[in-house]
Amino acid sequence: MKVYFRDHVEEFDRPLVVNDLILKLNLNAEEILILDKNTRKILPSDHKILIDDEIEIREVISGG
Amino acid sequence: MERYQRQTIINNWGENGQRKLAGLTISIIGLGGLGSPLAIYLAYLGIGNLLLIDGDTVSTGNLNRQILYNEDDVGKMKAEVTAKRLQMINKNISVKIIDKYIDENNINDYLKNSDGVVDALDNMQSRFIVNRYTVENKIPFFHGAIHGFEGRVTTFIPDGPCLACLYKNPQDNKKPIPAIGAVAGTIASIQVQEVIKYFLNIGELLVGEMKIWDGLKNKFFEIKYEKNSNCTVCGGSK
Repeated sequence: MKVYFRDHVEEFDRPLVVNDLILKLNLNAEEILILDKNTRKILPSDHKILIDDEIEIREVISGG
Repeated sequence: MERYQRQTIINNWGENGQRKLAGLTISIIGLGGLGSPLAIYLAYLGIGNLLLIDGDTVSTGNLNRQILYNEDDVGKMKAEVTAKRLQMINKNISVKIIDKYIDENNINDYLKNSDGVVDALDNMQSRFIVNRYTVENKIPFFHGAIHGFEGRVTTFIPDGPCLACLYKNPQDNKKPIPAIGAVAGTIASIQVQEVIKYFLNIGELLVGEMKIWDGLKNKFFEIKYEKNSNCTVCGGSK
């Protein structure tokens, strides 16, 4: 799977649950959104990401 | 009505629609980068009653983007300066101010007469307080946020997905958030159009969909989100 985050792309060679991906990338789940890059849908923490999936991670923004 | 003629001729707007806008009370929470263009556009639009809420004063560091203010305003309360500017724009609307920050203790009192709330806040903690209030009182919450060249906008309506369905209560950090007035203007412009469409019941709303403006790539992206049945604010576990 390909994971797009902050203008970088990381590749993983096996399926992962969203929560495990967050742990692997050492991210805080409360500060990010995990998206399916194709459907643009937010993925729940227990969603299994398959090897061919493309994932996008976007950080929460709060400025006004 | 003459001053609004160029908008009342829009399909399904008309003088009835304009009268409806004139009867609304819309609260703008935050009078900074987003709040400046929001307040200006809502005043020009003819929203009859605007409530401006912000406990901050104008500082020199605001003047790169907060287009309601100039160098002579530094040190003055933002709400007071904004109210004066808006009454210069449109004498026919009522502008009230609360020069305090919103919190869990005062929100019921401050927003009790609001038909809708427009988000111009600069932190998630306050947004979550407003989100809970708007869900419980079944009024729309028009969300916007900016960071550098990026802006996001979506609309939370009664019984739809809410802010807590989208975000998991992120913590704010104290670092200055990069901000440009033009990006705030882009997002605020869409928020105002959402206000119009919601209250005039025209067009399509950004419900369950967040638009993300990437100014560096000149592109809008979208995120789809759904109502979470386990949401602690609007779902079954509240």
